[in-house]
Amino acid sequence: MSGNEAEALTDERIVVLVLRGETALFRVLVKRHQRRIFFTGMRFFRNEDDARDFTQEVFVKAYTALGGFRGESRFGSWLLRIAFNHAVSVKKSTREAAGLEGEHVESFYPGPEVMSVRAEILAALDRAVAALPEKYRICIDFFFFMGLPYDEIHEITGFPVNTIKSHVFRAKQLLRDALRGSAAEEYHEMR
Amino acid sequence: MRCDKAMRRIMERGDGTGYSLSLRLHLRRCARCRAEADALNAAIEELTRAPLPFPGIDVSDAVMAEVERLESYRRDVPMYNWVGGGFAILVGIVLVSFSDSFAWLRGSFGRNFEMPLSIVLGIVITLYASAFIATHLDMAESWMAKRRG
Repeated sequence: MSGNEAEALTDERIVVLVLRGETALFRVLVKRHQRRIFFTGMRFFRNEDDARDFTQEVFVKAYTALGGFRGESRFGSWLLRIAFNHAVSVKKSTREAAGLEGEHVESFYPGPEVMSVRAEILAALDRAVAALPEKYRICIDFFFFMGLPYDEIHEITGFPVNTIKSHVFRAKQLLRDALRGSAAEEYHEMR
Repeated sequence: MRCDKAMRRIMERGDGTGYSLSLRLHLRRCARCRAEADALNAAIEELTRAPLPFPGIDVSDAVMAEVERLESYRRDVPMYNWVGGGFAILVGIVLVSFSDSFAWLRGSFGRNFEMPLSIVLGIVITLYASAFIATHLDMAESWMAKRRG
C-alpha cells in the first residue's frame, strides 16, 4: 500500500489492517497522534526528554493492546485514555519513590514568540491551570487545545462530567477576564 | 435575563451553540454580552484550531523499531505457499486415481465409490478456496474499490 493510500485510511481501518498483520501501517497512527500524546506528556512531566519517552511508551502499549480496541470510541480517545492512565501511574510511582507532593506548575504553552492576543489567552489559561489540583489540569488541555467535548474528556479521564465542567468553567471565567478590555477584545472588534 | 446570568449560561456550554431561547433573546438585545460571548467563543475556537505546539516531535522510528521487535498480530502465509498448496491438492486428486489403494477400492465397491469420493474431494477444494478468500478479503476489497474507480 502506497503512502498516500495509507494516509487516506481512517484510524479504525488502519487498526483492522494492523491486526491482520500489516504492522507497518501502525507508523501512520503514530505520525497522526504523536503530537497530542507528546503534549499530554508535557503536561504531566514538563520535560521534553521525559515526554518523548512517555510518547514512545504509550504507542508501544497501544500496539500491544490493539486487539482490545473494539471501536466503541474513536481511536484518538482510546489512545488518550491509555496515555492518561499511563501518565497517572508513572507520576504516582515517581512521586511515591521521591516523596513529592504538589509540584510547582511551569507553563509549557508557547509564549513570548506568539502574537500578543494569543499570549494573553494562554496566560489566562496558565492561571486557570495553576489554580487546579494537578490531576485535573489535563482537562484544560483536552478542552481548549484538543477541542474535546466534556463527555469525551470524561471517557478518557474517568472524572465526573460536572467536575470537568466546573474546571473548564473556571478557566473560561479567567479567559473572559483576560479578554475584557484587552488587546484581544480590540482585536476581535476589528475582525 | 440579567447579564451575569447570561454570561454564566454561555460559559457553561461546551461549545458556542445550542443556546436557549431566552439566552438568544438576551444576546440579541444586549450588545455588550454579545460582544463578550463572541470574543470568548472566538478565543476558544482559535485555541482549538491552532496546531499543537512541538511541531518537530517525531517518535515514529523509535516506536516502529520497538514494535518490530514484538510479535506481529498475524503471520501471513506467503502467496507462493498458497499456490503450492493448491497445486499439491490438484496433483494429489489426479494421482490418487492411479494408486494401488484406489484400484483396490474400485475393485471392491465398483462405480458406487466414485460419487462419495468426488464429494469429499469437492469439500477439500471448497475449504481450501474459502480459507484463501477469507484471508485475502482486504485484497478483494481494494481490487473492487479500484474497479469502482
